Amino acid sequence: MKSLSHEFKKGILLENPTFALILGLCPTLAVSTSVKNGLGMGLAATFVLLSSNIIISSIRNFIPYKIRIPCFIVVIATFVTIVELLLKAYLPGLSKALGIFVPLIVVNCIILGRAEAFASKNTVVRSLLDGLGMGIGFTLALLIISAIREIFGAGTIFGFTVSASYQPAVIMILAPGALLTLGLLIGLCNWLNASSRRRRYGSF
Amino acid sequence: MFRSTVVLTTICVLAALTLGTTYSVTKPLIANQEKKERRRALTQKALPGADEYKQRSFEGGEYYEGYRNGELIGYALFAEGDGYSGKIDMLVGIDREGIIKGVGILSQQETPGLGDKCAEIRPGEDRPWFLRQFKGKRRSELDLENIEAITGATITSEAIIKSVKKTVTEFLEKK
Repeated sequence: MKSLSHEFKKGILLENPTFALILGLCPTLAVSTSVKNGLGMGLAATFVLLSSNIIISSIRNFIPYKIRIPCFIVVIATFVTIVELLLKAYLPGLSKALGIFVPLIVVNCIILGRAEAFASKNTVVRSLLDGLGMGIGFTLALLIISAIREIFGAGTIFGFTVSASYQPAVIMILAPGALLTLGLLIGLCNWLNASSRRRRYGSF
Repeated sequence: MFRSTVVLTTICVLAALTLGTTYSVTKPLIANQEKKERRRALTQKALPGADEYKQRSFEGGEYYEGYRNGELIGYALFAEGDGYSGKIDMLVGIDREGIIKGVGILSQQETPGLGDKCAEIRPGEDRPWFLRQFKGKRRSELDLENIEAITGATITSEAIIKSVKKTVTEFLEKK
């Protein structure tokens, strides 16, 4: 049985949902145009992931296998709607900036993916750690991608101008920039994971 | 089979109760935010430059009058267009002759990257480029020849232009 700290840490690099598991790419590409939006989305999705992992794990023995997917979706959609309402009430600026991608958290593959692959088969404590680790990994991925795209595409970071004389490359804010950044980072992550595996086990 | 029904129903009922509670708690806060947004659209986008606004109503609904130094400088009207994915709510500011002073979008659900460019502010600018075109136009100039549409979002562009024209026309006739 893997250690508790492993369940938490794996989501951050080894099994990072964005770079290693390749999940939830649509909102990642769409929302990572600025660090502020990336952070907001990451935290909102982490809240949903954490809550849904905990609930689904606690009722996992009561859900008949054949109807598990509708049960998961109802739980996930409930939490997403709660997040949507809370954002509209307390953070309307962020709600407008994230726009349609807040309700789309329901179909973010990371959340349904972890529910099906982990929370429905593990204890509440492990599922909590898994959700937290995956959420932090997702948020980190968003932050890195957003930082690169915002700095090179708009010349700012979190709204603050980095260099007055820099002419931003607008392509970084558009789809091609997103895909380029993501692709290069996935490659980097794979390389890091492979070299750490090689160091630990010799070549495989 | 029966067990599946019971489990799924229970989950749905609990979900509904949770959502109902959250909804009632956040409803007043959300309404307050919408009121603030409307205020911002009125004073900064539709009818800027006034120091006093009065809310009035006519047979078509409510509208605002804007005053500067006690003198009426224009009106702000609510417009509603049938966009591609739902209603587009706007606030249209006109001066006393019916020339547009500004258009502010209150809410829209158009396609991200296409229709939602109606509210898009280009880097380095302070106002949406699409809506900026309405300023200074008369009713007769509200068409696709005088206003550049959003590429790939004809329906959204036309909906906004048509509803602005209709709202201003109806207001000036009924007043």
